[in-house]
Amino acid sequence: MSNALPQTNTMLFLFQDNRIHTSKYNILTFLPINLFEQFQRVANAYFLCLLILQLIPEISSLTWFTTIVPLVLVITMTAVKDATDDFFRHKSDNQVNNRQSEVLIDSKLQNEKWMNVKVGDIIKLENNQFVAADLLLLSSSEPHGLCYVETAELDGETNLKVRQALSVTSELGADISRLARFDGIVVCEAPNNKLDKFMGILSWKDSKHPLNNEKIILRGCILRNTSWCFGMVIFAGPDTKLMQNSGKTKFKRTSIDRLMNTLVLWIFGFLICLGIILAIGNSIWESQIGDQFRTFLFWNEGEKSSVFSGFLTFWSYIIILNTVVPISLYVSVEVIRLGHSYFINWDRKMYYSRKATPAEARTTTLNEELGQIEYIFSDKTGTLTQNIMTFKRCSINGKIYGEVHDDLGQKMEVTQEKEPVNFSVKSQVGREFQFFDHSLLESIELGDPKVHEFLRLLTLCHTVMSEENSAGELIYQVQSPDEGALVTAARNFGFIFKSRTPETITIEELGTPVTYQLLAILDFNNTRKRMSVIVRNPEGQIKLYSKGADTILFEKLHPSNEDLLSLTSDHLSEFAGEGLRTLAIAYRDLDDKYFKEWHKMLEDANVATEERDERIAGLYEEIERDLMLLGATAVEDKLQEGVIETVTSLSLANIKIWVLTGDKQETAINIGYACNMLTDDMNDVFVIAGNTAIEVREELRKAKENLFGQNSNFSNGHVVGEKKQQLELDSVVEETVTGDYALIINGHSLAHALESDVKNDLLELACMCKTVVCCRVTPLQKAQVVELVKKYRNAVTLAIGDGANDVSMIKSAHIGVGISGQEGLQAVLASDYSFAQFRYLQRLLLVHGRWSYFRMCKFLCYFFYKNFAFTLVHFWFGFFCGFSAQTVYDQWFITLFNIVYTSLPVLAMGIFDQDVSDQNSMDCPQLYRPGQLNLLFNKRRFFICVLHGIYTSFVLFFIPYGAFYNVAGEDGQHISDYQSFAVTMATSLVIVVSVQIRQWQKAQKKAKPLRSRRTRTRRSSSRRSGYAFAHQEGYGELITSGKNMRAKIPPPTSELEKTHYNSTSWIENLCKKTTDTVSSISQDKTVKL
Amino acid sequence: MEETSQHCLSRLPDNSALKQQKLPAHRLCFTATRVLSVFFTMATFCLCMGSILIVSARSTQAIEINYTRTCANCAKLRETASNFDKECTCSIPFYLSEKMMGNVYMYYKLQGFHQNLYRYIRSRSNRQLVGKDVKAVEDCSPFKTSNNKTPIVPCGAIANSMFNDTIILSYNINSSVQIKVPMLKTGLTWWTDKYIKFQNPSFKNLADEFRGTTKPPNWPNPIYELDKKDPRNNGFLNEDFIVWMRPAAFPTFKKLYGRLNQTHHFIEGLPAGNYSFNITYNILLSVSFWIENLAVGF
Repeated sequence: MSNALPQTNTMLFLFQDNRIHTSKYNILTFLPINLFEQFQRVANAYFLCLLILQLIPEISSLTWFTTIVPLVLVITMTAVKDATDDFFRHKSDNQVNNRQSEVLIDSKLQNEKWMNVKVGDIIKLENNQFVAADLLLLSSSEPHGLCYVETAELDGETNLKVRQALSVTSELGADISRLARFDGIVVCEAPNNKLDKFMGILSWKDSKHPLNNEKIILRGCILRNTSWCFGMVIFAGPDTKLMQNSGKTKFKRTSIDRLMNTLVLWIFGFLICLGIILAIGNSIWESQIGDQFRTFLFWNEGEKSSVFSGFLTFWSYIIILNTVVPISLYVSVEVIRLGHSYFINWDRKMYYSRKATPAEARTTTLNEELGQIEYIFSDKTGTLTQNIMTFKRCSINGKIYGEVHDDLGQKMEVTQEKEPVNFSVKSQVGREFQFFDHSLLESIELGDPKVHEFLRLLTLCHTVMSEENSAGELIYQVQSPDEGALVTAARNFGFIFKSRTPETITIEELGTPVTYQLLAILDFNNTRKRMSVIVRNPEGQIKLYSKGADTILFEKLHPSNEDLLSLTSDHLSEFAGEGLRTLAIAYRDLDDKYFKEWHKMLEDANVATEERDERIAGLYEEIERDLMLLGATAVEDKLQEGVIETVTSLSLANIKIWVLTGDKQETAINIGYACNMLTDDMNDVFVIAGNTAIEVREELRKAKENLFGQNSNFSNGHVVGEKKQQLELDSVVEETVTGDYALIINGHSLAHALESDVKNDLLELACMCKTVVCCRVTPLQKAQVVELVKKYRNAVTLAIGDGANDVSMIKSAHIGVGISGQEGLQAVLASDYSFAQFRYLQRLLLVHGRWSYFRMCKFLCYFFYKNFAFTLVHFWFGFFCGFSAQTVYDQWFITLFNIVYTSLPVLAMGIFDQDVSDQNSMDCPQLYRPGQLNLLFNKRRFFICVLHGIYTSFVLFFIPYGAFYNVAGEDGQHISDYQSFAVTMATSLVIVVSVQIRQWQKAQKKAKPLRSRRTRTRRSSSRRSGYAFAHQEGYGELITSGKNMRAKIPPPTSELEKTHYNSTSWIENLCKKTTDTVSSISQDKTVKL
Repeated sequence: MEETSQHCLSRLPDNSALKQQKLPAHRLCFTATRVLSVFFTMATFCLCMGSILIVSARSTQAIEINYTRTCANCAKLRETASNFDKECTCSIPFYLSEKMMGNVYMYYKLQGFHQNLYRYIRSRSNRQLVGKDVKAVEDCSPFKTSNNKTPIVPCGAIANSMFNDTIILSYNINSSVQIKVPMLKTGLTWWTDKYIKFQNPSFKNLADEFRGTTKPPNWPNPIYELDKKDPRNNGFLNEDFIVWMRPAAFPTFKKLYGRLNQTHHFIEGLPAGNYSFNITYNILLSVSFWIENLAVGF
């Protein structure tokens, strides 16, 4: 048994097992906890009090079962629902807990359930397996103990990440007996939620090895491109970073629920007032008039004073008048919400046929809140985008390829009907690739040298690894999907990247295999924003191929390129205007001698101890000049279907959409432009990318100054303080700013900006902006942003996402939406609503949400009206029956009024009513506005309903009173008896109230359908894509060092193998540079020029 | 492929009107003409109904005589509780200037008598009143049993406080000849009351049926001796009793006391002239006497 941890540690710190609990109850705790939760609802507690009152015979004016039956019914129904929900949580927990993994037990690999995995166990993982716990990587199938993990579930980043085991442990390999004897001791930090940090020390064999995040594989990751690896469990179950990052499940309630709780309290106060008035009336009556009745009606035992009689009357009236808020209100509200939830489940227009996924309302209690959303927090990858990159366009030597022209020479949208280029003649064709312009193929066939050079560059200048699978097909392992798209595109045009060794690249050019010698990879980093390769072709020519951000690359061009530059520049603008991610492509012919000199200097620089990085950077600059422009590529980060329309329509509905993504700033901004969230019409785009609190504050201040104009008084510290105070008091900032602004902030800055003293500045600024993009944020930061808006803006928020990294955000927003039909289920399990496509959000909010809100408000208004009209009659009658708590109606009528007599019309209205058709509410998003402003049911509306109810009860009582005052039947019989009066009142009440239902169905202005579809606006702007590769820096180094090559590749023998790198430098760079990938973006302004 | 499409179909929601929220609906479309025409039609209808009601009410004649004040000595006597069984009569003359045509009804009207008090209104035993179980007195507090635990029949506060003044209306043809106006004591009740809600245990010998029970404390006679003249008008089926047991909605109310028997002098109704009431006074509160004819329309 290999246990890596000493006993003392175990005693100090209680290790969690790997079992996870997301469920709330177990069989024993269910009843007490659930009942406790349920009676926290004001209404339930209120009815419990009433029930107790009714059990006292002296004051019970209604029989006790009128309350207990519905109450028990409601509580049972809710309990059953909670129990089923929790049952499913148990089930999913069990499913996860019972997943199998191979654990090294007694020197043998044995299958063990996840929940039985303990800290200190050694686990074997295989390719494409989920990681069971946070592991310390010991060894792997890849050379140098490397392994690749996909962390999309954790942080939403889509590129593969590299992890490397310590060299001492990687030697263990797959040797079971040695692994079993492994007895290192890990001392590390306490469990926390920081995904990108880990600190620890491994003590083994009398030496200590520092551990960092690069040695750790976290739970929730998926192992990729690595056939196996061994790891030792460091954190298990709830201690894992994944679980530490998932927020607590909160009991969500709608704002109407909360309002109703307040109103119930108000009504209760009102009842007490009425009760006091009537009780005083009773005392007076008993002492003045009641005396005369004593012979007919003795006082009960122990009840011999008018004051005491008044006291009892008070309670009696409280019981009688409680029908103002009957339990059936709560039952009906639940029934209506349930109905609305079913409508969502049943909606064919939210059914995604490709994945056979219907929309699902997983929570049935939040529907009307869907009609009040003001802020949407959206994840990017998988939600807005499909995470598929496709090569769309290119500009080669001043000619655009990939555009489709119709007969008149006008550009047209690529449609499905259009015949794509048929690549079937070529071998090794990727099935997914589609290109609609035949002219490129023609140019290739004609042998245009520039086109060939362009494609050759795409085939050579990258860091893709190739691999043949068992079927002999060529598979590319890409670290960044963009590069994959480019290489795949070149492959489809006949330039096929075959394989690489540390110093050669073999490609197939239109059928002929060619091997290039790879002399150097000038890797990407954030300041360079470009990458180059230097290769020697079989003819012996040395060429530098470079691709990179246009802004950078254009400065490096040879002066002779001027004409082409301006042409290509126009093309780039056009591509960028369509939201495509662009790259400029250039090459340079190198002189053999010059290269050798340069290479020598590079070697010197590499072994230098001082200013190594600076010297290397200088050398790179030196060789990457006088480039010849070839053209540009445009890759589409494919959006989900209908995202643009949805975003446009939602912003027309005045919903603000914030994008929170773990991805890079450039990517996020690009998507912002692609979905029309950011446009060039915007007055300003603020980028906050400071690394320290002071920088962030300064940037925020500047942005605000910009926003309010220079003469604003933000520079004055005193005024700022005052302003802040005012902000804290009054969370609603007046929106005086005109024009469209956007804010882009990255995770580091956000961490500082979320500190208490800058928080309000951030919020104020962000809320003035039309679009907010937060990039490189951790799951917890996502939740913090949501909380911030929730807390200080008092707005209804919705979070939508698809991965485990969105779970905390989904949980903390008022409404969480999960994108279903994906592999990971965490987001869906945590969500309140789920569907397969982002575009369904439009229908969910604008149709279902709006209807739900509208129906619920009408229902509540009407219900309160109805019950006030029904109940207050007792108050008026009190003045005629000696305040004796005699009810006007028959007991049965009171019991059944809400359940039988008036239930169906109002329920039907609450479930089915449509003020405008679904098509109209989709076409006219402005109709969503009343929900956001909370116009249809608020305290004022409630007050009006109550007044209306009081008025109705007054009329209902006094008109029959006048009629019955002195009446006789046609045969002389007296008909002014109590029973006739009661029946008359009850009948007229039912009629009046049923007819009044019309009153709440206000004729809404017929919405004129606006233009049904907003045409996609083409931006023609000077905005340049600040695109950078989505892969980590250091990858090029990894390739040239040959570390990630399989052992079968023979060790380098070539004389050209001169680049010898320090064996650990690349991974160090990798680690160091990931931390500051976010910096330096601020210069790369995307502001309007 | 077959399987997956099957699977797709099974999860695809039904295309029914209910599930897709396409149920046929009717929306009232308010236009000025429609609203106004409905409004004025309703107004005309209500106006007509109102006029008819007012005209018919006008055609009735009513005289109301308050005898509490006139019989002040009796009222005073009753104020002392111990004198409740002492007989007290008084006579009130009045003049009817116009004759009353058609059906004439005689009512008693009580003012400030709260028959609608919560405890009062519940203090009755319906099981007893339908004759099923004469001794069922559970709901009748505070008048369930007498001091020696004998169940009271009819029990309860309503029955105990029954109006039991005797009123005899006489017509003075001239100064010396007085004839009693014949009054019917039947047909005063609702049909449902008489035939469904109130039943005697059996029709044979009421006294036997009510053995083992006692009369309400305020009553001079037991239930089976309420109408000494008409043996069938006794027990729970006594019409005065039934009328009383239907409690009034408001503290001021009138209840039917008798109908004019249209015979001899009174075939057409009450002729004009001098009349007088002879009242055996029992009630405590303000009582009026009310004669009304309801000739037209109803």
